[in-house]
Amino acid sequence: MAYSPSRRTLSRRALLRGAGGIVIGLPLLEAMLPRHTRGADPGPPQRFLVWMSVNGTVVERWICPPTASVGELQLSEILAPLERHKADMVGVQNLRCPAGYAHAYPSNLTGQAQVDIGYPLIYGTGHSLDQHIAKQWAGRTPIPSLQLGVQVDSKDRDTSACVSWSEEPHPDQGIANQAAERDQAPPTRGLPAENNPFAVFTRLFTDGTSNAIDNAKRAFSMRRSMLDGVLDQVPALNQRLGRADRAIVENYFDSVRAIEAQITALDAASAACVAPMLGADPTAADATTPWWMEQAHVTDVLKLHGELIAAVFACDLTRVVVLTVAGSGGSSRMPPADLLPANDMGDWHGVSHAIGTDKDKQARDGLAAIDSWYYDKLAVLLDSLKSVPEPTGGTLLTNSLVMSTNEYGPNGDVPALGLVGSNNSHMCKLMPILLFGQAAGALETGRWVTTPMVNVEQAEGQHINRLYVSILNALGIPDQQFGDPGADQGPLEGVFG
Amino acid sequence: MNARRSEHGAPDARESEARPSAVPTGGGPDASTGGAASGVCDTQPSLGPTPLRRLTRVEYRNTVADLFDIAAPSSADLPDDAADSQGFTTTTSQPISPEGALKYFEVATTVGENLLAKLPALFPCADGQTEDECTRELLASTGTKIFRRPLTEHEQDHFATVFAKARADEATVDEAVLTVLQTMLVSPQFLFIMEPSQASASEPTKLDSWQVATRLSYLLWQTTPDAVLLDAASRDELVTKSAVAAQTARMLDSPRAKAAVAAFFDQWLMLRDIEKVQKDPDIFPDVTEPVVAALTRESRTFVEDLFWNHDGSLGRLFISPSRVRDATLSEFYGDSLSEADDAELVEDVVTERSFGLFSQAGFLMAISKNDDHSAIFRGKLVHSRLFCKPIFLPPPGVATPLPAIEPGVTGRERIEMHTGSGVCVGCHGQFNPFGYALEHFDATGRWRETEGELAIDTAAEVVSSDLGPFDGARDLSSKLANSEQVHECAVSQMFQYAMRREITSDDACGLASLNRIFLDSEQSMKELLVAITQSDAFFARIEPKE
Repeated sequence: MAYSPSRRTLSRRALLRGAGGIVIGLPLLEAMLPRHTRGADPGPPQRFLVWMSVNGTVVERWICPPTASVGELQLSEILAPLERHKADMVGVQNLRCPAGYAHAYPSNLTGQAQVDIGYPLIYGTGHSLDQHIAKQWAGRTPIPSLQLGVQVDSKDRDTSACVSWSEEPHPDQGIANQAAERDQAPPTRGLPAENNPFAVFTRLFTDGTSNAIDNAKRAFSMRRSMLDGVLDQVPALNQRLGRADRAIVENYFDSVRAIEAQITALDAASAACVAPMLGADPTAADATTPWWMEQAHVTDVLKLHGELIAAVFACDLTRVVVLTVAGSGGSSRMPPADLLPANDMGDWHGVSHAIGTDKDKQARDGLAAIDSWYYDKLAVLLDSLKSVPEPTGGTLLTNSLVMSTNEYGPNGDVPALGLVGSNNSHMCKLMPILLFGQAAGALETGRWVTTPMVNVEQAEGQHINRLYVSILNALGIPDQQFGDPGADQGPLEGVFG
Repeated sequence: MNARRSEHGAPDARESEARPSAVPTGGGPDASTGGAASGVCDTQPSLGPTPLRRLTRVEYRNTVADLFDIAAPSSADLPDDAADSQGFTTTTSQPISPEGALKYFEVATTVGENLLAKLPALFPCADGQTEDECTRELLASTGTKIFRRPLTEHEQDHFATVFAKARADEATVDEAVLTVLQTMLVSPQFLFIMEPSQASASEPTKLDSWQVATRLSYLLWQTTPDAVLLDAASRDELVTKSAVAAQTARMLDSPRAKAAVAAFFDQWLMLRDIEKVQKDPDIFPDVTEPVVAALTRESRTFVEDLFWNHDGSLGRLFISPSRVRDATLSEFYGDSLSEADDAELVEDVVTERSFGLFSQAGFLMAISKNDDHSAIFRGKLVHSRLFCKPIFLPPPGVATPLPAIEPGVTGRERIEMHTGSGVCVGCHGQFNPFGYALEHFDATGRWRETEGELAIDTAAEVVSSDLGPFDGARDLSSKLANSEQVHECAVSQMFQYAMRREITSDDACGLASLNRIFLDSEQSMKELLVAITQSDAFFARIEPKE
């Protein structure tokens, strides 16, 4: 790595103090050194990632056959791009989300009905699953959580297109008052997604004057040098010492060797922490639309976000990330034009609404193709996670829990699951949930779980909050309830152990 | 050496330790007979073994602060000290755990961070000099100070390589220098006090000047040798007693010596336990935190004045006209000796209730149990710290709690009924009586005329001691002041502290000489300290046989 000749501070503490925005965590340092071991956090750190998509899916072409045992998973047509990851996958079928017709992002991860005082003024209430986890894990990493997005429109980034909600009351008292007037729950503060991967990189991985990871690695290598510098003296010192003295000095050397083992493990961990090479933002100076907001670059932006995610996890900057792959509903852009069906149904959102019309078949084909295309991008992100080895064995994915989900389930009838006579619009039931990763031993993967229906006529399964409770438990948070207290409570059987 | 707590729940952790026999207390062959059997001492080496020890927390902190003129690291960041058989924490020979080693590494790294600004001065490296040349200059100057001696050729090559490797690893010059310095700070040559080793275990080996400088500096100033000492060492001057005498005088003249002396008394007489005194405020409402703080100051100021202004006269420890008072203490004691905000030394008449160490309330509370006062614990202190006698655990199966308090029975009588016969009296008879003499001092360490309505009997005797019968704290104190056994014990206590190691029977002759000097100086503890630095034991080392 290139070496700047200027004298600069090496101090890990100085780095963590964040001079001018440097925020870096030595990977797993606090978790692995014995004096920092906190009783509640043994073993490798678990990470949580949400991949949030939009406009629902073609459920009958999404679901897979239930598996009686691990290894039998056969992927559906839409999920075909995930073939190479199916051993790391668990499908969870039939869950329902809080009811929300238009713009259901704010209720999706909060598990509670959203606060709606007129589009785009739609808010979450309470906290979202990712924020609850981030709060429980507060202090373990320099950054509590990260929200990334692709073309999430600025006009509703922190309202109807927002999925991450902290439990803090919304700062605008006027909004809160309007919600109260309508007898709605109090709105909380949303954490908007960042669309620009270059800005995220700059914020997290550089301090403007030098590469913070480089500094951390150098501080690290100084400790290695100290270790070697001591242990290399063993033969010469022992030669000069009598037996009794040698025994005492040997005890010290043994203790130094013991910390050498820890430092070696940390070295391995730090090797995994490499600043992603994003390059510079290609947006032209006179551009009206940034490069990373353009339709043609969705694939590239998703790839860059994937590299960022792998890096923030490997460097332990945070353990909670939410990636919103498109803005909510009508503000979503179109995927590459060649995916759109020949008959003009408008953009991605339009395609989803054409289900149940006279263009039903083309719409279903079109939506299936779009969703499959996005699952292919998810497969690329999973590749990024799998490419990073963990010092305790396995890869980042081994120690992560990735939840792929969607604002909606079906957009019309799903006769195969008993849903007929629907009003052919977005529905928050039969949610397309996929889990990836073993969550450091908490999840047995390679399965498809068909959760039981609660209301067969309405094709309504159990409330997604039960899955969220199970996820919390798998991540070491023993809550027995999440989200809407009036909805189903307690963990969901059959998904985790 | 383990410290088991006695079933009596004694606060003194070292009670189970039997001191090695033939330490000349109360009747050893050569102890008090100034040189009558000097023939024996002429022919046999008189030196106990010195295990390899490492810097204590205080020593480490002072060393780093003095080496580099930076703030001392916090004690909490350093591995613990442990106490030896006499409760001194200067004999740090216990093993270091990996967590302890890690602490040394972390502290060294912190020191390095603080050194960045000083690097130009530490590593001036002029134009035209190679980095290797500059590194070797660093090792010759700063390196010598860190290791407390010039580096061997092998060590110079080694650390020059550390520098070069860091540079090859793309470290800056600054980073490479810090790597060298930090590595030295975690090397055994720094952390341990290294003295002649691999010598024949039967002959003491003489220390070189650097090693004498180190012993002297840590003893008198609790820190690394200063420039004057290092300079004298570089000219190999410190192998003669006269040169050492001059340095000792210089160092004792400095205010830096006060802390080391205070530490001795703090540990010997358990003065450091005064500040831990906590009484139930419902029962003892006037033993408040400010009072406890004032009592701590009282005893510490008393011994400091005693040592520096009265030659450390042992007799004056026990019977003295000096009192330390401020407004808080005067109110607590109920005398009107001072109304000052800050503690001051005043003089007062010696009476039954106010005479010296054993009438100081803080001291008395510290050596008693917290909820009450205990003649047994008070007696144990006298027995172990003033007579240097071991206290053994009671035999298994012996019932230890005292019987319930009965009306009409004094505390003394209650204890006597419980411990005055059978298997108990053999031990308890040797120390309880000292406590009985102190019975006019209550649980707050202050005078009481009676015990409720009962008269107090303070007449007692410990037959194995040379005190004869005594009655009351003042009488006991004045007899302690004149006791040969106590004199010899004081000598061995200071010797153990000063030499940073356990005393063994091999030290008999050395202690005999010191006893003579102590006698001739009329029990001056200051002269004794100087005498220790002039003793043969101070200039030599025997490695433990292992």
